Amino acid sequence: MRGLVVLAAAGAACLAWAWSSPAASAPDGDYHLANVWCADGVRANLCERDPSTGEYLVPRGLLRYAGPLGHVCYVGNAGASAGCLREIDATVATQLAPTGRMEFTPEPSAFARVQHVFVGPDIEHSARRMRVANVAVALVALGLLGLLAPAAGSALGLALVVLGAPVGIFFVAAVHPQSWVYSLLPAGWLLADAGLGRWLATRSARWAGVVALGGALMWLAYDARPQDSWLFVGVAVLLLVVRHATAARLDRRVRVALAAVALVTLAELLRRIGGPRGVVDQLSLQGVDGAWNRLTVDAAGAVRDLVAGGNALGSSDVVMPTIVGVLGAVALGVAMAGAHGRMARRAWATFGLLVGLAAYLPWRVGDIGVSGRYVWVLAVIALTYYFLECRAGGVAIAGMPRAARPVVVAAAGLANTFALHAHIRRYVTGSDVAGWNLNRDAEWWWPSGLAPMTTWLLGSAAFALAAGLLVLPERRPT
Amino acid sequence: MIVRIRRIARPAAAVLAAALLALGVVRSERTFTNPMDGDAIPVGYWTVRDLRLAVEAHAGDPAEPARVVLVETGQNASLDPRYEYAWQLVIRGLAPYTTARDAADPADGAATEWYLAHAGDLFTVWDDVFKSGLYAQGAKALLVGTLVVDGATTGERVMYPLNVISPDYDTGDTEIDYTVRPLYPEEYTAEISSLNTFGLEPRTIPFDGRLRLVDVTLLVEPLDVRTLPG
Repeated sequence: MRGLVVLAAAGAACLAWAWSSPAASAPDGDYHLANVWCADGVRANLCERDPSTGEYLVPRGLLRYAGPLGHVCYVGNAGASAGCLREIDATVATQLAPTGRMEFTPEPSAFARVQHVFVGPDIEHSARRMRVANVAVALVALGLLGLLAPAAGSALGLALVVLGAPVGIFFVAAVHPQSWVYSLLPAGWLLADAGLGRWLATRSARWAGVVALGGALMWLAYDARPQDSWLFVGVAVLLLVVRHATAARLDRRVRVALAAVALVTLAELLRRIGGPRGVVDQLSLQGVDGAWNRLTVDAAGAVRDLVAGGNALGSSDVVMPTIVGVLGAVALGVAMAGAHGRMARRAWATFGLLVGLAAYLPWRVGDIGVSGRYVWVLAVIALTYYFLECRAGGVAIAGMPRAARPVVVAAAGLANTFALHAHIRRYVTGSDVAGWNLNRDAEWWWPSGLAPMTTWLLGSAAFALAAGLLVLPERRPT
Repeated sequence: MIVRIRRIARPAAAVLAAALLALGVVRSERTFTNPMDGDAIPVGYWTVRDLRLAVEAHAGDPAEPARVVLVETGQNASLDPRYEYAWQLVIRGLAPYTTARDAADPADGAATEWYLAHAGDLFTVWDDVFKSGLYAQGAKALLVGTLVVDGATTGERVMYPLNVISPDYDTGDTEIDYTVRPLYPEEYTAEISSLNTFGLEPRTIPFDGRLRLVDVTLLVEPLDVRTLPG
């Protein structure tokens, strides 16, 4: 029952974020919406091709560079609200135009195809339906994890409490392929992890099915955004091997199979990264100054974004107050310190490698970008691994001191509250307007549904409720 | 005593928080004025089949007739004699979509509208509509615009009840061409006159006369979308 209430509250918190910004507000929202509109191939008046140039054409309202006055009219100026949406006319939905993106070619992933089901004549309502669907996908994945592997679900839940807002929760509810990477990869990895552990112990077909389910979720996460999630899926597979290869009573065939999986995965990861030579090349190309700059600016900025949001949200123009980062760091630090127990050296080494990778990737220019959102899922996997290992079996929350728990809940809850307020503020009036009342002098809001202040209040309360139920101890029987 | 206080502290705090939240929600909903109220949401429908599905979904009750008024808007129009008691109506500067307005009288006065995008191919849209056979004998319509005399606008809004047939589209992306005749008095029924929300007196095209209008709207009598092809 408690788990269902946690899920419901988490869903409400995600929906508040889904409501907090207009259509196409995700980074490169124009590109991703165009990709969704074209996910089912060429369809009359949804996605067509110019017979002379071969360019893909989509409704003009989806586009950032074919403006002015489409659904992306507010991008690029944090001080400007989304009130410009009032000025768009019906032709944005009916006129087809090239995307304005160089060599745009649709990527019909499972994510895009599922989103395409919700494409309708009204772009805003279509985007809202897609966001609700993405929240539902996340809840189903978390629900399955909580049901089939409660200890792993609890560890992931704690990681999401301290790292969820603002970056994770924004992307889970966004029409952006990272939504599925965020929702499905950690849950899939943990399902596979729990299933593998039980299968090795019991050889039961049921647990083999759980491993397959976890693998399917990981594949969907990979398929949604293959250009960078190959790395995170590879890391998750290696973690599976690391956690189970040393288990007792493994027969020779299983050991060989796990070793083979690890070797193949490692070789593929090294190939894609460019191997040790690639790392050296990166360093030599950048020189000492460039490397220092990337380490202290890009990598540090990406790590800060993990808890502070920053320009990881929206199209590089959402201003997050400093307090969000401070509270996020407090929640993270207290949770890690509070949950910490005895951890094996092997686990420390693995955790250190994961943290090092999360810091290195934004440093490395290439498929992985320099914003924290690109490595957020890796950070969540690393933190969940820490919570799983530091109390030997996913009892991190139960092992936390009672005094630490309210601090974690309060800091994470307040961080989400401030972040959601700032996010709604950016689109309702523009970030240059101060004041707590989001309803006052609003220049934009969804044509129907709850008011901005209501969305903020309910979203904040729902997040705090979910975090509280997950982290705070149940009442002792008297 | 302390034990008792500690026992009730958590439920009391929860109740207080819920009450404050409810108060905030009620106050927020009461005080918020949505800046988007009254703004049309741009929507696009693309085929008459889509239109039928949309209107039927909107109407909800399959027993209720799902009827729409088709509306064309253009920058200007000309009416020239074509042959005996028939004129050529050309509307230029067409909007790139045809508006389909829900014919049901809405309680709040704001009718639901759908847009059939034609993006320069209005004839195809109309052709689909005409395949239904609904307008085989022509469609009753109201042509509304501002009268132009000797090349200068008079500022006078006028309305002509017409029977429009044979829409044609071959003169450019933003033009449509109809053959029209004035409606006979007995054809100017209550249903077609109900489209005259502008309060304009119906006029008759002068015999052998030419007309020039600007800021033009053509409203076509309600059609039942269930009879549309597709």
